[in-house]
Amino acid sequence: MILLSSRSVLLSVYYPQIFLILTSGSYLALSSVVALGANIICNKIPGLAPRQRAICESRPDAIIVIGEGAQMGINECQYQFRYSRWNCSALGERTVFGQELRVGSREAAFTYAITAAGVAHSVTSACSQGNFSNCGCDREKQGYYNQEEGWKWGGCSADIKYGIEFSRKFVDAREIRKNARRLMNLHNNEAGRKILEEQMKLECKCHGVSGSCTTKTCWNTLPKFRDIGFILKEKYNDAVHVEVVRANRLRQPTFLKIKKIKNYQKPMETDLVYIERSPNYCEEDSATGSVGTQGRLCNRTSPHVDGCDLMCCGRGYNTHQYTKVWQCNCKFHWCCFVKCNTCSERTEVFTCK
Amino acid sequence: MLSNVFSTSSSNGAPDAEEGPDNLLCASKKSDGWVGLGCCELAIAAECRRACKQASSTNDILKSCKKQHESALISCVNRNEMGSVCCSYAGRNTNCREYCQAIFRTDSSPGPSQIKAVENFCASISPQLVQCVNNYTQSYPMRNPVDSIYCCDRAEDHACQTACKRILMTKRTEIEIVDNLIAACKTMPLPQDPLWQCFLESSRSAHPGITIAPPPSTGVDGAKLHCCSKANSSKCRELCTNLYSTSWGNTQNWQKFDNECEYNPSESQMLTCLADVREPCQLGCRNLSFCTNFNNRPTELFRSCNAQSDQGAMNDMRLWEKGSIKMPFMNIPVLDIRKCHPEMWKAIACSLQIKPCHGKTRGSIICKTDCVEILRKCGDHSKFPESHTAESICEMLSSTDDTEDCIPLETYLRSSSLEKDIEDITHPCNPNPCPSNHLCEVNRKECVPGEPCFPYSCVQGCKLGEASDFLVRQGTLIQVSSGEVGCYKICTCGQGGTLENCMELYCVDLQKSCIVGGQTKSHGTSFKVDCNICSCVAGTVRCSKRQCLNELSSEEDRSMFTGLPCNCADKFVPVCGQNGRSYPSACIARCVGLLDHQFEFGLCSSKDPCNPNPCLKNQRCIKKRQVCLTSFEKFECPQYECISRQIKCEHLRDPVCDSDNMEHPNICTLYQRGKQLSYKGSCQHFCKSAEPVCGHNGETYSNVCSAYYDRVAVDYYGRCQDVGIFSDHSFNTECSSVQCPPIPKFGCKPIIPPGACCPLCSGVLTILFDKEKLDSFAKIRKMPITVMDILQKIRPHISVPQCDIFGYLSVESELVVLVVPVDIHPKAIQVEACNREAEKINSLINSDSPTLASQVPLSALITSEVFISSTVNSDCTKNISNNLYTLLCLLLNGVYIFCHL
Repeated sequence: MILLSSRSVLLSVYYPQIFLILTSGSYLALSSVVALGANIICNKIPGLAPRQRAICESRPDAIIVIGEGAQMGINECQYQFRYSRWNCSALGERTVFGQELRVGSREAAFTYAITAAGVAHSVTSACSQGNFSNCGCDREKQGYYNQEEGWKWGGCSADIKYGIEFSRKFVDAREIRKNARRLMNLHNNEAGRKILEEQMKLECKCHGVSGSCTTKTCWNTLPKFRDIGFILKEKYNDAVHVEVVRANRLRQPTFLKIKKIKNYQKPMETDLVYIERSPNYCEEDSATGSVGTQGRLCNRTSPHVDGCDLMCCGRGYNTHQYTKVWQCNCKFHWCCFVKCNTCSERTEVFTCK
Repeated sequence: MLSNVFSTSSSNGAPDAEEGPDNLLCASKKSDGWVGLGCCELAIAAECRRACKQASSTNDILKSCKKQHESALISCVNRNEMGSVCCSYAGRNTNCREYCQAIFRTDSSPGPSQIKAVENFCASISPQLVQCVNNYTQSYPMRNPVDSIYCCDRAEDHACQTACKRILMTKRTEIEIVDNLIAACKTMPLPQDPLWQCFLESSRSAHPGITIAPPPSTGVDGAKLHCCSKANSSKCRELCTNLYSTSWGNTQNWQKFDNECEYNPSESQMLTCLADVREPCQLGCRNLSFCTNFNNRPTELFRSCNAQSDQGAMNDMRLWEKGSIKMPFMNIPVLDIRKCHPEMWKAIACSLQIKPCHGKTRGSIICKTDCVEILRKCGDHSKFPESHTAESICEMLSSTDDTEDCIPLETYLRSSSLEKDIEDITHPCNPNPCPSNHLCEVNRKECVPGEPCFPYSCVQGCKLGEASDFLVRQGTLIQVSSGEVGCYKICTCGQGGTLENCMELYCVDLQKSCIVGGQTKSHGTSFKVDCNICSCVAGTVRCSKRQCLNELSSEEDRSMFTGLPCNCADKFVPVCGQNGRSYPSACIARCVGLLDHQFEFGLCSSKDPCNPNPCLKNQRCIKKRQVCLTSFEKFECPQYECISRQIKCEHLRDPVCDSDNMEHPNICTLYQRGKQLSYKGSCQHFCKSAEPVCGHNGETYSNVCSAYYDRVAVDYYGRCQDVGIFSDHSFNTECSSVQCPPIPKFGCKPIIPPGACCPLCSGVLTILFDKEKLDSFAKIRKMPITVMDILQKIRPHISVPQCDIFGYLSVESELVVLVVPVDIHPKAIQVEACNREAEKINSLINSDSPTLASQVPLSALITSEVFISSTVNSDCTKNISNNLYTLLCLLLNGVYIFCHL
């Protein structure tokens, strides 16, 4: 209840600006005649919660940016876990946020954090680029002069607050069940966004030819999303096992505490948290959503998790041999032909049985 | 039943809503009461949503829901209410009722089959129902799916592409289209899928009346983006565009730009333009505590005369004392600057920070000779980078020695010869007293007694882009770079301080150059052909149409030469053209292109446009003289205005003076009393005498004030009686009958503006303008563009209240702008200030600086030539090499003048 009411406050704070702009908007857009209404498409997008659907319908421009942000999160997840048994995939229907894991594992924690951060990231950068109505560069920062350090805000500071708020409004709206998993997901969403916010960087530029840098303008920039990926991967490794506390009268999940610690110690804001142990992801399993590692590429010599022993969970591997042929040592002869040698290389590829 | 958008969300793997406040279906299920209940979840404010759920009629929600914020909710409620009204005609016929309700179920446009179904099932039951439904469906813009066929090409899969095209061409309803697309492409719609992105992009929002208008893309900084088009190398143009177009540049791009362009002398055009946006050239400098030699220079131009830069110069000096001058691309080793010519180093440090910009190019570079001199003396030659000498280093820093382009250090080695606190020149807007997002304008209105009166006024402005600090005035039309180099948009600076109603204008091919006399001139360069000024505009040469003599002219040519267009005789038999301008003779009128039926004899001021009365019966005809620069055939050039007779005048005090020299509290009252306006402002004592004057435009005015009100300066007293002087070559006797008013004896070399008889002390600009461009602006404004429009736009750029701007269209079809001292007996320093202002405007026009070029219609000014009534002072600077001349000026002016040599 607490969460819900605070959300509606946020909505009412943010929306007035949106609608002021929308209603006074240009008449040009009206004249464009289109094939499909947003509501028809939004209705068919799989996996949207009702509130998300409403946002999709009223802001079809936003849903594109959200989709791109979520995709960026998914891609980053796949990159970070490209050598692991779990490669950021799951059984089930593809949604805006990828295939969702059923188990409240640390992998689920990672996907929630990275997609929430991805959405915040892409909304913020769309704002700076002017591709998103009713936001832009961070106006709070404009015109402010820092007397002590001798620089002023200038250029375009990324409006991360707007991006985070939008991500909160949209991504968190899919948590409609009242259970432990909801608390876990919300925490991880917030952790992803928090880490993104902490990684904002100040960039400055000096003006003038002389060395003293008297006039300096600075602006906030978004970090590269790859950096966020690496930090979240670290957080994944140190993810905290938590359990829910049902504190109120209705015995509904109220907050999370770290498991195995007697007193009520809550996890840190930027910790990734999970409530269930991960499956081993060796076999396909519809109960856990695991796709299994059958057919995955592995490295025969590596002792790590990308090595065939670990990756294939002892099932062994298939060896595929390829011969790669290409033209090499090409020479130009006067006039006019090119003569090349043929080079070839044999390569072996291993996939899990 | 009449639930809205949410009711169709059934398929797909979404976790279905359980119990709880998020459940959207429950509200519509339980209620058979108010039709709007199903819409409540669209409410934005929590308070409104609550009110909606408890409402039993539309009125109930209007108390808690703000109409302007809750348009989605309101439109949903309206639709449902309309549906309930229409479908109630169905009575007990369930078939008809259901088909009817289907029309109103969602807000997507009803398909033809749906409408057909209603007609089939309801026509016999209730014609009213069919009519009611038709009223609703006809208000909907029909969508044509074929228009979105381009989206199909975005699909990744080829089979999907072809299927998509087939579906859009054959299927009519939205639901059919979507279902078929899903089946054919084998994917559910995802917002990351390019095909669906395209449909989403072009989709209109689910709530009619609300359209997602993308913010006008002006680039993050439209003003600086305009400067990118001035880049010399394509590389710098690209880098610059990267920095200011769609997104703010990243560190690498900034570094690249700094290394390759920011300090590159060959990019001076672009750099000056960027500097104009960041720090415009402003007259006057004072109150510095370190760079004291820069103080008390009210008639010189600087970009950054402020405490911060003053401090910066001091910091620079301290850094340089360590033995090295850090420059962006190299370090210059120097000896101890505390011992080796410290005064010169100080002048350098201060020049680099305070940035004087009075040269023609408005650059702030130190002259090469000064650079070489100081480095020869004080450079640490033993530590110079290999194979470098003072000369070679200076060649990189500043390759010019032309005082038009560089700052001679000499000027700032001593303090200004002017007394402190000169009251003769003021700078109300420097430093800027206005809050951020506001523009400062000099207040030239008379003060109303009893009301606060500042020498300046602050007007809200719009930024040219998200990251821009460049402001344009509210309520004006703006020309702004539209993202691509050379392409422009026109927008309005709206009430909210944002650009609105933008429309694409045109693109200029900046690469196209002109070939003139065997020489290639690139876009934007100005040059002279004989006595005419010309400019290359995207491949075509535009020139003024003056009558010239050149070395090839024969003796006979010379003797016949009058200097007038088409070499017309200098007879004064004035005619009035339909463009609102009087011409001295029919010959000249024909020469500027007027056909015989497009002018009539007599001065325009002698004509009465209200006779015969062109206005309606209940309207009053008011004379409104204007000279149009746009084609009068296309946009007309009416010399009158029709105003309603029945207006109630407010008790506003904004005094005006009528032609009988009577004052009225405001213009409305004046018209109501049936009087003719002479000028705005209270009646002036010196305009009481009914002595007519002849303005520079060749028009007779009843008094000085009404001429000034028309922004025309007085040539001489009495009625216009002569053609005026046009050329240095014409040994005319035209103006012999004219008695000229006296001119100041000192501090001014008077000049005669084109077509005038009498010399005056002022800066004179002759400006060539692009008539076609003005025509295109007139088309947008739906109004002709007049000389007054241009003058009023230039006027705010005159920063010194002691100077004002006047102007007219010359008979050579150039725009002549005068920057005149306001005082009847101006001091030399005031003449000097006006000259500087004229030079500033001239260089802003010639460099196509965003300061002017961002404003419609000033962006149509092509090139300009300036003539200043040079005070001896500036003559000294200009002719620095001319010893004799300087000596002369010293002798002539003794104590007052400071000459640099």
